Amino acid sequence: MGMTAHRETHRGNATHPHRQGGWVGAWLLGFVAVCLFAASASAEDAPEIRVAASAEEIFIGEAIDYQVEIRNSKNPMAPDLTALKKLFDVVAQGDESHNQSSTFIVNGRVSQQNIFSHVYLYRLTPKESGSLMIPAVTATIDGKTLTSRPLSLRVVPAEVQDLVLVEIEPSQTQVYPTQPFDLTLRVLVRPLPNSEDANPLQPLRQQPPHLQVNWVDPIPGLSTDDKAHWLQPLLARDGVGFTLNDVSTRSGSFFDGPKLAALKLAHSRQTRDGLDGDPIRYHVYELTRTMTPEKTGVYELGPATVKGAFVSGVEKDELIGRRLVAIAPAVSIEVKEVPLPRPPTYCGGIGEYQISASANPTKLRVGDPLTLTIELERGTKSGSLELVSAPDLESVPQLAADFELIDKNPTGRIEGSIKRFAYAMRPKRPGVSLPALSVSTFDPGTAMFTEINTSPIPLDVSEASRITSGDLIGSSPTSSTADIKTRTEGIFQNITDPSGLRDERISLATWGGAAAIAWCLAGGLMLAVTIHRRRSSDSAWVRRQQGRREANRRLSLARATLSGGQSQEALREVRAALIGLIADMQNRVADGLTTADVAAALDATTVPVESRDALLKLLESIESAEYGGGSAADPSQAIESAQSLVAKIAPHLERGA
Amino acid sequence: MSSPQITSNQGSMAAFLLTALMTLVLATQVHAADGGTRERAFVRALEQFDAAKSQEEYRESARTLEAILTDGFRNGAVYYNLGNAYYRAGDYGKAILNYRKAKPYRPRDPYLAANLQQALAAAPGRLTESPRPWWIHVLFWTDWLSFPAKVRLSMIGFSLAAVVATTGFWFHLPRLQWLTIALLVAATATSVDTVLCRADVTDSRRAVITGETIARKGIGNSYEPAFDQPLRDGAEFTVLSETTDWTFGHFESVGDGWVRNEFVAR
Repeated sequence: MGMTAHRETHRGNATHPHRQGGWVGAWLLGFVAVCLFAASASAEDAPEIRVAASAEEIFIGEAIDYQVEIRNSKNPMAPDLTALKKLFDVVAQGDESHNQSSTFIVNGRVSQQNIFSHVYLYRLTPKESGSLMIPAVTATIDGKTLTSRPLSLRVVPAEVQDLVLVEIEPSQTQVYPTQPFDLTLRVLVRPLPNSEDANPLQPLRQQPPHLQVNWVDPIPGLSTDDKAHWLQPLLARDGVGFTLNDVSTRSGSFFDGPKLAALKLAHSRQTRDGLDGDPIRYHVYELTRTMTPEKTGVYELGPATVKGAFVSGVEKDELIGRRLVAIAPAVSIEVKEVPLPRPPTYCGGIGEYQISASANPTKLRVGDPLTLTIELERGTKSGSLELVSAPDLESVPQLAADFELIDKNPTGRIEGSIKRFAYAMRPKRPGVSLPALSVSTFDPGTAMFTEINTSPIPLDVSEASRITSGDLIGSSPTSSTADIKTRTEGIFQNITDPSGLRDERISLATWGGAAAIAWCLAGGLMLAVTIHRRRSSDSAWVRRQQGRREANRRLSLARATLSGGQSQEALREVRAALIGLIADMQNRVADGLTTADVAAALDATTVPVESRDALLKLLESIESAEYGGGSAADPSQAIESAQSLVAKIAPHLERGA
Repeated sequence: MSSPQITSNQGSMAAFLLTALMTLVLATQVHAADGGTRERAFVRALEQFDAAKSQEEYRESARTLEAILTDGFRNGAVYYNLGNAYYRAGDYGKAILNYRKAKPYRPRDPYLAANLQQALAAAPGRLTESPRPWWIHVLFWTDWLSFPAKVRLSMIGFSLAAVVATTGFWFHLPRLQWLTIALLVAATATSVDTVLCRADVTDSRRAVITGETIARKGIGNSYEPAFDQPLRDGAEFTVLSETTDWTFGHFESVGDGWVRNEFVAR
């Protein structure tokens, strides 16, 4: 079937094979191009938002992982978690794209499937216990606000007990930036019932109690030493101790994955009253970390929790365990601003610094550039160098008088514990030198400002051959030149014509669709023309299409001939019209067709008998008139009869064909 | 016999052309609806700009212009004036950003180009600009045509090619075949240019630093600085990813780093 159609197509196009193929190829090229372009702008599935939580029940102080997934959006925006912040501390854990793009080719048909998914990760720590509802979050995608479903979360509160106590204790609650302080997590564990001095963690070594502390990882604004460096000495090889957050170790075996590390904390004893008022000599375990604030503000450290099964009694010489959670409330550390008033030379440094200055070159002429480099070296207990700004050299009268400062506020460059500021300047007069420069820093230990000084730098500045004020960068240009030039400073004026305020947004999909429609119409039109032309090359079809028209034309000619007084000729035309109609409709040769042939031809059609008989009678009368063998026919009546017969039999002949 | 057929074909052709033109005209009017609110705000912003004496007053003018751009409204003149307002307010980063946003809509505006250069020169944090992509040299007209003009031209080119192709096919005019191919090639090239420029208009990853800040190597101030110097107002970069509070960007000729969103304008 397909083969036949294929052959017919070629036969139909045989008249202009190259031309036709070229046009179809051009049409296909254009249509594919338009479709591809339009497809790039087509709408995808509707965006949606999904949420998931890592747990449905946790102890107070614990956190859950909360995941927000935005699907079917090429340009997702981070969700709005404002609604969650009333009940939870929210910490962003980053985001990742899960976009997928697949192209399928089936039977030569190319289709593409794009899956857009972007996942935002958060860690939520409940601020209170009970049955909580994680509120719905919203995200605005393409101007539409999507809302997730809320999730339920049960937060189990801590019970009142004296088996395990936990607390956080800072060495100071108020510090200045860069002033280090210690933060200690203290866990007090009741002695074992059968052995006062034995380590109560020893029986728990198979499943050590777990500490959850929020200041193990770096806190913005508080610097600490490296976590691994801090915890490495505390690793317990015998597994007796506490596990901490997600701090884990590897066994070294290829097949074993990482497991939580047991940490052996500093151990001591301390006596406190139990719930019943009796003194208990607790085993105390302490985890201490030194922190250095870099910026001012109030820092909330904690809460911290200890969770696990602890020995609560003995029954038949067997220890009885009790699973519990103890929580240490958070503590606040206030990092105060450096007090006011501050000396004008204060550079922002807090702690101990050393300053030095160097110049290059030291031998130069008036107007030559030189670079003054000031180095501030940070002491071990000093604040971040990022806080240190460039000393204001314009405030040094001698320097401002003797030198033209090219770069008044250079950007510092930090290398290790040193921050360097490079000033470009030019001496204004011979014999000048760089004076000692003073910079003030704040000492948090004494809460006083300390002044540190550079040494004077002698320079060998000689007289320049000639220097004008125009040679100095920053000075006013002289107007000695007569050439007028365009000033680069300033901006050109606003556009003030509101008539240009039309929306210049443009829809690629709409325009692509319009072009695609144009090509579809063109394709349809070309297809219709092709079909028409193929049929036109079928002579039988063409004759059939033209038969009725040709018959009418000849009858019109007969009328004209009759009006010219040529009745015989008119009758001949009438006969030719009727015979021609039959011949055209049945694709026969008209010449030589007799009335008997016509009768036989009509027998094979659906032409009504009365019409057939009338037609035959008319033909016979015309033949009689022509050859003189019968009564003469009235030409004008013959034309009218023929006209009527053509209208009657032509539809039957067309159908019959 | 052939004479009446041609008449019929001409009628069909006229209907086809009319349909195509109607489609294009309707497409242009999708976004035509707009009230006078924006015009009033535009004029008010101009008045505020002219009366401004302080940086804050220039920012007020900028806020009025920003309000015009809500609901996805796009206009090169508004972006241009917005850039001027931010420039006068001393917010060079935002000025650069808005001049760049105006560029696809006003590619041949010499004042826009001059003001952008002026803002770049004034910005304290200007970084080396990324080299222009190679295809700019191939699609040489890309700086001559506005983005809407590119879209319209490419689609009109495709539609015209369809008309020419049909005409040539109908009337057996083989020379029109070459005209069709030429139109298709031109329209396709313009479409490619349009698609390449589309990101600058609809999904811009271009951003700029608006104040002095330190780029970090991770999300959080505890991470080490990514660069040896702080970034300053006017440092342009390409957004690689972002979170609620931080944006990860590529700074040309410097590297990649995380910056807080409060110092980022897009």
